[in-house]
Amino acid sequence: MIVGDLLPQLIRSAAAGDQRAFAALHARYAGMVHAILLARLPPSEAEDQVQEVFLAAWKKLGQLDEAAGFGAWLCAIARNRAVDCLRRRRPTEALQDGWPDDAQPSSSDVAEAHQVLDAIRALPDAYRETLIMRLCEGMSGPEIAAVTGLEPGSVRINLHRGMKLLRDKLGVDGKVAAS
Amino acid sequence: MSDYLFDREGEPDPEIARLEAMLAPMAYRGAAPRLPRPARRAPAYVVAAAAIALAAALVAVLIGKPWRPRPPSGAVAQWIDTGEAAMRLDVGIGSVELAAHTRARFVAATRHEMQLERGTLTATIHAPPRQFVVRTPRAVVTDLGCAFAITVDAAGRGSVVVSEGRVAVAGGDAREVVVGAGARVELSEAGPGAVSAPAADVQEQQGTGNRKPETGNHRMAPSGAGAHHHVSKKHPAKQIAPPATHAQPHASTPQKKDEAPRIQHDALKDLKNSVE
Repeated sequence: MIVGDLLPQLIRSAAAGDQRAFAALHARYAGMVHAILLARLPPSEAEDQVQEVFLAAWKKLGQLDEAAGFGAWLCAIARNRAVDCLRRRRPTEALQDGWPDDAQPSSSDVAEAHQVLDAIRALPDAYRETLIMRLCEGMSGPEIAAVTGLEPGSVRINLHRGMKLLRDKLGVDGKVAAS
Repeated sequence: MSDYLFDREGEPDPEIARLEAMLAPMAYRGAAPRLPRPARRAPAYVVAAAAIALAAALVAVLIGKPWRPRPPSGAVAQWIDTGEAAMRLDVGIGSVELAAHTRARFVAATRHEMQLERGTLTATIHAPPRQFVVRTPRAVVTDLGCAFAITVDAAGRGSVVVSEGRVAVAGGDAREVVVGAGARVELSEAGPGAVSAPAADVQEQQGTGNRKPETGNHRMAPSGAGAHHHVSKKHPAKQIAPPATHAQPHASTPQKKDEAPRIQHDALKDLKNSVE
């Protein structure tokens, strides 16, 4: 956990090219960035884009006005990156919302996981990002609030409302409900 | 009451725990990317040197031979002994001819400053005043836009003959004598001395600062009998002018009252012409 007092120093050091400071920021915020990407992109592409988001952020660190806004600023970069990825895809690809061939599930468990993920991705932005951070990345509500800059109360509401919508989609036994 | 969904504490909600277990393998496990190495910015002088080298290489490619700075006709600091044959040198802003039995050298890479140890150096310079300098053993001759010839021996005795324009001749005491076209100044072991016709162009400029004050008799030698022999034929009218009495005061030959105004008038006229 990066305490607030340490964050400005880490950001300054990372901006100056300090790899260790940059790695510390990455360790803290990579889950958040990955969740935002995974809420919009196929898993393999989301994983690839995490590093791109961090490198893009590193190049723009000088534009960051205050360290306290780093999380929200990084969220915005990740969302924009996901949008750019979707725009760059060819029209035929844009119509496909499945997984790349190399990410096709090979077992029923994995297939079910992807179905659940699809259900989460169908939720509104505020809910799907928060739920992926919580269920996929394993972050607690307070941790999500700390990295995103959201109020803990807002995170709690997003989690519960999102979970209710997800349950409705998944049905009683967790399977994706027939629509 | 615990809120497992929010704080992950307390009794796990079975449905949430099952989703966690199902989605956990998708969590991000990647390492931080390596930061690109910041490009070191080269100092300005390195950039400038690289640009010059690149330009030189380009020129070399275009003309098919390696580029080198244009060497002077004589290497800097290397003495040139002409021997029996005269030698013509390009000094960039004109040309210099070294007569036979002359010893001289360039003392600046620009080829604008030479040292004449002995012999005769004839210069034709096309440049603003004071761009070309010749140092003799006892005097410094500075071009003011002209053609001139310097002849000295190893002791520094000789003469400066101006055929066009003017030159400034200074001795060790920093007094500078400006000599116009057609005039000649003698060089002695004491430095520049008598100036011969045309008197109209002869001026003296006293040095400043802590230089030694000068009296006329101390510096000026009587004009020699052959003073007019080397005056350029381009200025025949000036040959008939009397010696520059105001520039060569002599205790034994006081200046005539009626000569001074005419000489000064000629000097002003000649100066005006040279400026124009």
